[in-house]
Amino acid sequence: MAKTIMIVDDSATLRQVVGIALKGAGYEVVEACDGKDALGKLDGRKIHLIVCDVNMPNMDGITFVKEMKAMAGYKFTPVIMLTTEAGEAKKQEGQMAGARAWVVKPFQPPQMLNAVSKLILP
Amino acid sequence: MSVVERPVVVALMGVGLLGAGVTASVAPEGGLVSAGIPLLGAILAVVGMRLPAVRLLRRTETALVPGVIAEPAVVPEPAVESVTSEGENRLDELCVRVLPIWSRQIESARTQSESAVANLTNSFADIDARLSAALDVYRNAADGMIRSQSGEQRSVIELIDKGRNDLSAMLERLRSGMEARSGVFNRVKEIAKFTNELREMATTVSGIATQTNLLALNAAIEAARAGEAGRGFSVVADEVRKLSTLSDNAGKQICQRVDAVSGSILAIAQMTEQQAGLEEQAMRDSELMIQGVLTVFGDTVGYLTQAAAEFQDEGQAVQQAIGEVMVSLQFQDRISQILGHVTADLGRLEAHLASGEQGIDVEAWLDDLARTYTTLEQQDHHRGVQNNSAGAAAEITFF
Repeated sequence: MAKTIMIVDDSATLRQVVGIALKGAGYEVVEACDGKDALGKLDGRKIHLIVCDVNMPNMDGITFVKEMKAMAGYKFTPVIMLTTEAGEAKKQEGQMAGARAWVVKPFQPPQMLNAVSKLILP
Repeated sequence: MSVVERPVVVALMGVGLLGAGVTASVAPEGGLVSAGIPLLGAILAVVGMRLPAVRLLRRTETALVPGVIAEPAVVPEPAVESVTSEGENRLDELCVRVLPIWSRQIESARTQSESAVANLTNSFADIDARLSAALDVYRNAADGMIRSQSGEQRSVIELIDKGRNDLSAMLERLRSGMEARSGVFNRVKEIAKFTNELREMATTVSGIATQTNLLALNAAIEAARAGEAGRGFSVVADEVRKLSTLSDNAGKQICQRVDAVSGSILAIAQMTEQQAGLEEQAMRDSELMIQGVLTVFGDTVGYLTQAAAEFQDEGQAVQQAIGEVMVSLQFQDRISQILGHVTADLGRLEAHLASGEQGIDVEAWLDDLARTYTTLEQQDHHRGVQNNSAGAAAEITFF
């Protein structure tokens, strides 16, 4: 059975681009347009990994990761931050929140898939 | 018109180009200004009309811009005394009114580009999906994965091979049938040989009967010559003669029957031989025809396989190109963020001017602006250095 990855990004283009790369590698994809939307979709379903933007309306990526990590069913779900943010301070913030990797946009699909395959839950 | 004489126009040009994703330089009447600077120029120009300190900074900023080839002495420092309060008020009013317009224009450009790129991405994704589906169908056709009558998935090539084997087996069975018929024909010919022997035997029987008849006749003559004593022998001789006559008749009938049977057998043998010849010819023709059909099938499959391989190669190349295009479309997210920051800063400036607050800490303002940046190229533009980081390959950090 295919593993499920959640993509959280306010840019429809990015969700589409990431989604195509992941679907092409055989993953199932759940999309959310911001942190709040993503939290609403963490409804008990099995999510094997989350790819999350940082700067988003309603709820930013760092806040989302913190809140998601406080949820019992998703505490160990790995998160890859996919963002234009390249600053070290933000990276550390992401790491402290519980993210496992930090990918700076624009990404190359093979690199993203490599990171996904390294981190995704069995 | 120089940079400083018409800073607003230059800034507008700069913002416009930035909105279009252009990171090259703006050339106001022969002068080149880095794309990151016009906005700063506009801000400084607007604020600098009222603040001498800012005017000084503006001059410095222009001098720091790399690649500026406009005459450095074109910055006529307006005397503070020449700036009337009426002029200040009119400029404030202009800024308060024009800044939201710029913001709306930029936001409009941003949302339009976002919508257009999202549509483009959807279209490319659709093309990609359709191409994948077409490639799958064609791959199956090329591999010939079709369901046979038994429900088994087989390739066209496999089916043709199977057909060839089946037809070969059928030809083999026909050949075996012909050989069996040939055996029958040989047996019939052997039977025909036996009929000859039977005819000879029947002839011999007739000959013996004739000889016996002659002997019986002689015996009858001798019996007559013996007189009364030979009367009994005469009766025996007479009976023997009758028997010999019957034997002769039986021998002749056997000969007739054997001739009839022999004729029929020879006729059957002839017909069988003719039929065998015709069947052999038909089988040779069938074999040639089957081989021809299989060769045509094989050639067609070869052509299809080659065409499918070429189609697959081309399709995969197109898919790869689409993938690259879609990766490139990520620029929209960066542009959207950059324009969002520009719009936000214009709004901040507008609010500041609308508040009527006198004086502005330019350094603090620029520091605040710099803190909103997310991309390296924004930081580069802010510092006025050559930007090389836009669209650079992804950097991945594992924690």
